[in-house]
Amino acid sequence: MPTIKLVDVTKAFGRIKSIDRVSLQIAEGEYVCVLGPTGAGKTTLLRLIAGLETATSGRIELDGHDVTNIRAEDRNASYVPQQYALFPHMTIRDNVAFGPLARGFTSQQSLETAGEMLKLVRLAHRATAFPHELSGGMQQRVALARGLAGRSPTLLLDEPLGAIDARLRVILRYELRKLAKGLGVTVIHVTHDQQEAMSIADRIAVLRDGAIQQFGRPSEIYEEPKSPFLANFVGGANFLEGVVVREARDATMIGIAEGFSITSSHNRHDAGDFVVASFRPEGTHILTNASLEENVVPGRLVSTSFLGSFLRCVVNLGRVGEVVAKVPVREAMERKLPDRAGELVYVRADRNRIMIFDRPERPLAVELEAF
Amino acid sequence: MPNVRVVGVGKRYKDVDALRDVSLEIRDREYVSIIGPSGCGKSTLLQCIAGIIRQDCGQIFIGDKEVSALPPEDRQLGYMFQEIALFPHMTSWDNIGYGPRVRGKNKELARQFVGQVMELARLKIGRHTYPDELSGGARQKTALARAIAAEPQLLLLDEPLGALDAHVRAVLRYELRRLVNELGLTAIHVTHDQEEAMSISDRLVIMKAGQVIEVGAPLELYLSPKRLFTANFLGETNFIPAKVEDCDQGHVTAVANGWSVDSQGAGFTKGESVVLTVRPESVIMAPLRQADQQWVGIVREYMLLGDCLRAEIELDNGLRMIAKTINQATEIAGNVGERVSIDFVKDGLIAYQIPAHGLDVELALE
Repeated sequence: MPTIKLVDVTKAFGRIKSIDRVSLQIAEGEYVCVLGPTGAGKTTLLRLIAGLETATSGRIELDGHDVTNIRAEDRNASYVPQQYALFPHMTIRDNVAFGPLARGFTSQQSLETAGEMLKLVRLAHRATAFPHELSGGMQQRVALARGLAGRSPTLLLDEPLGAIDARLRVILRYELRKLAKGLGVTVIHVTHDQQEAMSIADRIAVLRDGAIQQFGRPSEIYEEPKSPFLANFVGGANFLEGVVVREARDATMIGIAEGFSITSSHNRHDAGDFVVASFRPEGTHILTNASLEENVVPGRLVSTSFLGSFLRCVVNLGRVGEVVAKVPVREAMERKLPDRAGELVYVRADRNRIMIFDRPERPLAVELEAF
Repeated sequence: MPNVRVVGVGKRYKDVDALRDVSLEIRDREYVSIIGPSGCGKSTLLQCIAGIIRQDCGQIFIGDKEVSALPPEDRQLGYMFQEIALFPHMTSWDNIGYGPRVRGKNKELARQFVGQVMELARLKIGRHTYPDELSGGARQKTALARAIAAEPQLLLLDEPLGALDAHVRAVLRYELRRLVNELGLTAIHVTHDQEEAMSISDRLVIMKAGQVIEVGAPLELYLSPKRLFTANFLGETNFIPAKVEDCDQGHVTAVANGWSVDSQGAGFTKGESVVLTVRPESVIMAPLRQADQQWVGIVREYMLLGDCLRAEIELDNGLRMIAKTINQATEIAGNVGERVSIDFVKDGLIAYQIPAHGLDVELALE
């Protein structure tokens, strides 16, 4: 039985549909991330499940019960908002104990639970500190501990790592997943950070304009995105518009510009179809010499930038536009790849890593936009 | 020419040293990022350079002129905060034009100038659009356009992309860098995001607890940092406790939980305890071969991060190792629960002395 079930849920604010006919099923113990750009409706969706907003239409079920018209405090789900408010005059331990205390546990039970939860979020040593004495990241973990202390089987987290520095965020996301899995709770975690979602979630629901674009395992969404928007928003990709010129059982040839075509091993399109070919930056190779292999295009290096494990190279392919390649840094150094703007390089993409999408109805730039 | 020199600057708040004896030189037209965990003093340092707060001691020079006691408006710089302070009652055009107009351009010239600035910033917004009608990205660009419209030679940026979604951030940082390049400005950029800093900066200044820990080019600091803190702050790193067996000509042979391993390092003595570092992308996984005795273990977890695949391996000698491989969608060395062997790329390991205050304190991010 799914723990959380949404059926055709819509939430309208005036004439604007913040959530538009969303259906979802989440299993017990599952960790789901809701990912999307600002304004996609992520927080509204979470507040609907928490019971802090009432759906305009549709049905919400928790643990098999219809809770659509049940008040938040009777839903047995713990909501940790992005703007968590810790009580400034209370110690960290008392802040965390507040949840169970409010639920009718004795003060001793509540303090014990608080102690355990603080241990889980690695703040046991700061139990007697006051909120203002802690960093933003620590305060956010206190809010999380307070959410956990309620012992609800369902945790609803709105940007739980949002106030935390980039580097610490990466460390804590792994800990957060371990914590949730250890406690066996079902989690919905809202974030705008695609890498966070990929690394923490069992499944990801990508939301845009209030509607779910795709719901699946991180690898599904990354390897088989359903639209150019999804490919771009989750991981980033290169896009070339073209027309299918030839189609066979194991390959599709796409004409991109005069005298230039690329071949993909995908074949869901017919000759004459207008399509968008797309390939990931890490599946884009930089060659320093011309090659007779397929899918090799000459271009001029525009810029290189260092990302840590990867070197990011932008190459201008003339009329076709620019593409981005990510090369492992050690490989770039060993091969002594060019790094001066204007140098001639060749770009290659493997045919089995070239995705093909229907050309979107709106212009590609608008389709990709996530502002 | 706006080179910037900070000499022995200190700043104390009540009982906390926000800045301790900070010295720094930034060259003309250089793009420098100051990074470090929250509370490290990076914003305080930027505000001292801007003249928004006054340091307790030390001197600040901009373009060889001492500005230590000058108010911000006499320092000839552009400043952009994380909390965008656009005037809500003015159109975005008027916001951008606010600087040049007050500096005495006539209305027509100011309008032309704003148009040019917007073109430079690749900003396309209607003449009658107000800031609250813009997307986060466009608002941020408007604020940046306003900062450069004042025609500064030195641009100070405090988390200029902080209010944006991860995806938009990663796009705009390159735009920001291009703009600074085209205008030939010197820029100092404060951020907590190490990838952002590495990707667009000529040099990084790493700060911790009010002090400058290390300064260098991104690649240099990433591949061979002097401090363990830097190694950890710039990206995920494996830290391996080990004992030195032999040390000769820049090479160290060490033993980690009974297994021997080679690394870079100098000046160690036999028997000395050290910490070896290795980046996850320098750990190579391979299917187990019969001859493998050491550096073998069980794959505990895989995580697809997008461009790379992250594996956690529990080694037979008790160590845990993170390995990252580029996501080629090809075969992996072993499934979860299967045994694999690991190797390290040449020069992938570096040996460090154990810090006097302990490894945990050295690596602490808060």
